[in-house]
Amino acid sequence: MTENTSNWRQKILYKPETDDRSRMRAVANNLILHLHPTKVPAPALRWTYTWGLGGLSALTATLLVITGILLMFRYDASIERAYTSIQYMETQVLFGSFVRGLHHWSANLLVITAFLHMIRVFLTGGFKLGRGNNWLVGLFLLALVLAFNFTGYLLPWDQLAFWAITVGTSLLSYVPVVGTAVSNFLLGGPEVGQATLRNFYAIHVAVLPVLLALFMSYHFWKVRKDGGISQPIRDKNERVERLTTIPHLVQIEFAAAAVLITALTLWVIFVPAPLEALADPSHPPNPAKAAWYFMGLQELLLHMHPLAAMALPGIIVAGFILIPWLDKQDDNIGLYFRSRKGKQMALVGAIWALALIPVLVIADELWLDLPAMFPTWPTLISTGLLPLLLTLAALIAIYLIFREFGHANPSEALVGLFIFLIVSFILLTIVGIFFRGANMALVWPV
Amino acid sequence: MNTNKLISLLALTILIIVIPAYAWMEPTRLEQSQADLRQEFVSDAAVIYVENCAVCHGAAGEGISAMPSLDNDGLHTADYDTLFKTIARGRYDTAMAPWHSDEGGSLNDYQIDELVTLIRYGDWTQVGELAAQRGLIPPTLPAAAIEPERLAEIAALNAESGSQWAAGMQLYAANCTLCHGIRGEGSDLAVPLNTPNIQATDVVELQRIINQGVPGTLMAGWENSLQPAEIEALAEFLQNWHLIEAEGIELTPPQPIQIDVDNPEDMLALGERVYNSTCIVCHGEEGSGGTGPVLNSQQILTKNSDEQLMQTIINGGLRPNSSMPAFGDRLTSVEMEAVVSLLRSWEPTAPWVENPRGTAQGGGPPWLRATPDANNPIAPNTTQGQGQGQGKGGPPWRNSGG
Ligand code: HEC
Ligand code: HEC
Ligand code: HEC
Ligand code: HEM
Repeated sequence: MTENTSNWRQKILYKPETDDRSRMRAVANNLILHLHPTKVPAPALRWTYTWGLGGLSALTATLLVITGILLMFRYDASIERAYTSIQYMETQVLFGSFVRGLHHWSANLLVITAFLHMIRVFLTGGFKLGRGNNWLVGLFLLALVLAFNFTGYLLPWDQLAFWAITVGTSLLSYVPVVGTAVSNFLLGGPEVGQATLRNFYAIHVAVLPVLLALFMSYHFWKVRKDGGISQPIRDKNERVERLTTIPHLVQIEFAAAAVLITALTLWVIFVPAPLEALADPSHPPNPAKAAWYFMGLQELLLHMHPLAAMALPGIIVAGFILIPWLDKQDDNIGLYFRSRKGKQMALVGAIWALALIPVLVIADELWLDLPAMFPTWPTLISTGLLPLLLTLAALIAIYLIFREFGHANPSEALVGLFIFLIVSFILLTIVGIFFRGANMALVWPV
Repeated sequence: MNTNKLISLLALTILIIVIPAYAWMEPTRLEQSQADLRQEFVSDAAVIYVENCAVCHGAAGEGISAMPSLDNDGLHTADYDTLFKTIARGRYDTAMAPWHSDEGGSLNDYQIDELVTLIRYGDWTQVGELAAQRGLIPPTLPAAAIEPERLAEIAALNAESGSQWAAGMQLYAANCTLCHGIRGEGSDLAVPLNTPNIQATDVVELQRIINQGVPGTLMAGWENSLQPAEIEALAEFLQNWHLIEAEGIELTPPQPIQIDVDNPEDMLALGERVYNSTCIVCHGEEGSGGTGPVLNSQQILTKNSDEQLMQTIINGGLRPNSSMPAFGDRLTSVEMEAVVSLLRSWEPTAPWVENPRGTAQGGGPPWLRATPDANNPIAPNTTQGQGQGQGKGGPPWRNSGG
């Protein structure tokens, strides 16, 4: 019995050992060490390197799975019952509101942590030296996270849900040739209705979790396979201290997890998940907004022909996919912003975005009227192709300016451009969320 | 202890305190959220009610003539399913149509749930208030009406029972038009009444029908809500309607106006409506005074702020046993605001003093009370002289002459 227990303890829990050798042996087939190597370089443990963002994303995803399964016991994916089943959870089920709140806020948090994680990976060149594959997997994970959120958004079947999905999917119909077909396929018809709810529910609780589990496993496995997370290349004779995963890494991870869970719990207790009025297809709210993380795109849509507003992010995402092939300079891996110069370029990129985007948004609202300036052109050109090409030209110009006048190498210039794009996107999102009132007119938030 | 351990410990400590605390509060939270939800249901239902049901059941569920009130103890304690079924399926062969979309109506389960909640828990003054604030329907549902001069014309038609006809027509306007139509032409709810057939019916028989109703139909018996004399008047009126009609006298159909509560002119018009129907008996035309004090005077209007006027209207007279009634739960806030805006609109032209001191003496100084004579302006024929000012027309000893 005692023998059994210690064996069990050894396998699953950590039993303190005194010297390095036995520590390593004791934990050789420990659960934790399926995920982590036994030893990690000390600098890789620095909090300010990864900010723990990948790990926090993984934790949040786990929370989502657990709370999601609990929600499934009470949720009913029919348009007659979905909303009432949520009300039921909020008013009748012990901890119903808490579980729902956890799921709701974790879902929003995951979008943020995964997005920040991507930024961190880019800035430290985490996609270099054979990690390109994992960068792609990561982008796919981000897409999965957004798909999760998008499908989940509809499920409460309240006004917010109904109209956000209606607005969101209406964008699809602008995609030439296949758009309407894809939209009809997803919605199970021309409009958001019972078929849509059931489709989205199936995708949300069956298709996406399977994909997420598969790709997350691959993601983690690949991190280890690539020799742990990225680190600066060091001289052969420079000795880097290596620490055992247990307890050093695990302690950090545990602290991060504890803080996240505590903060999230407090947040959920004080800010329950919102629930608006029952969906009413005949009374659109004004303004009808998409989910907050799509507000950047909806904002773009206000300034460009829908086709251009879809093509631009499409081109940028393609650029993100190609990053491992665009930045092939591997010797600056593991260094934030690549170099001092890279940092300067990033700063300039951020400042330009901060200055340019608000000016453009206001100018377009008040003065710019492209169709009136080119009355003889079809709008597809005057409000579509023209701004699209101008924007792309501007992006290329920014890159070239960094290269020529900033004397940056391609890797550093790319950092500047990347930061410019990210800051622009965040600004557009903020404008969309906070500065758009009735009829999507520019307003000062109250 | 290193920082990581410290942070973990701290976070876990908070968690260990907060989660049981939350669990302890959970039953209270559930109750609170149920109460909130009930409130939400009632507010949502109020909107549905005002849009769909108020035409028949009254702006605040008080019922209109034969349409039942929904604000009564029987319904507050009624079985949930019974109410749901009544609204969902309607009542066969009555004006109460089925409302569920499955039955061809326009409401879904959820909305009917809300209506049931309203009927069982609802605070109906709040419904009337909400209706008024949204300006969805006129706060006081109008009935068909007839001008006083026309009533006099009717009375003049027949020396013997003309005044009965007039009274009957008024009663008809107030109680019967909803079903039998403004011109007695009938509606999809009831048969025509302005027909030779009815006019040929015996008065006593007509009274019996009105008294007892027609069993098994929408035609309720009016025995309990109208006086015998009123029933008699109604019967007389029905029998002679064709004669009245021949004179071209008709009821004016009610004008359900949509009030824009943000429009000062609408509010003023509403204020006038409320004043003329509610306040005029005591405070006189245009606030000129009566049993109640003069309101159209600077003394009242400059002295009182809008809030103070509002308070008086809500709470009634300041003096104990004052005959100024409290209107707080009889009028909606919109109506009261409208009246206040009406009173306020008098302010610029209001006289300084309620009753000019000179008018208290009984029609001016005695030597000025004679009716002016156009032929002899300075020395009118005093034998004709009658005080024509305010008051009772001079001291009694001067009045005896006629
Ligand atoms: C066209 C007029 C009309 C409208 C509109 C109408 N009702 Fe009725 N309702 C009636 C009549 C008449 C009755 C009485 C039926 C009977 O004789 O049993 C009634 C009865 C009822 C009763 C049963 C009352 C009782 O004492 O048993 C309820 C509950 C009710 N209505 C609710 C509603 C609701 C809720 C709406 C709005 C969705 C509505 N009604 C709209 C005419 C109407
Ligand atoms: C809720 C609707 C309703 C209201 C209000 C109403 N009635 Fe009727 N009334 C009816 C219906 C329905 C009939 C037809 C009964 C039948 O089928 O014989 C009827 C029948 C009558 C008849 C008999 C007609 C005939 O041809 O036999 C008289 C008289 C009458 N109503 C008078 C009145 C008077 C007077 C009032 C007002 C005090 C009044 N009704 C209010 C619904 C109404
Ligand atoms: C039954 C008669 C009666 C009716 C109906 C009535 N009032 Fe009065 N009102 C009075 C009397 C009497 C007073 C004298 C004040 C007191 O008794 O305290 C008064 C006082 C007031 C005052 C206060 C005047 C002051 O001296 O400050 C206001 C304002 C007023 N009434 C407004 C209204 C309005 C508006 C309505 C209609 C909604 C109304 N009243 C209906 C009898 C009436
Ligand atoms: C569900 C979402 C995701 C989860 C759970 C996740 C998890 C992780 C974890 C735990 C690590 C280890 C290092 C760290 O903690 O930062 C990691 C590394 C990495 N992630 Fe993610 N990730 C997610 C999304 C993404 C996204 C959106 C990208 C980029 C497009 C990405 C690209 C990478 C890459 C390239 C690495 C290796 C970084 C390096 O070696 O420095 N991942 N991920």
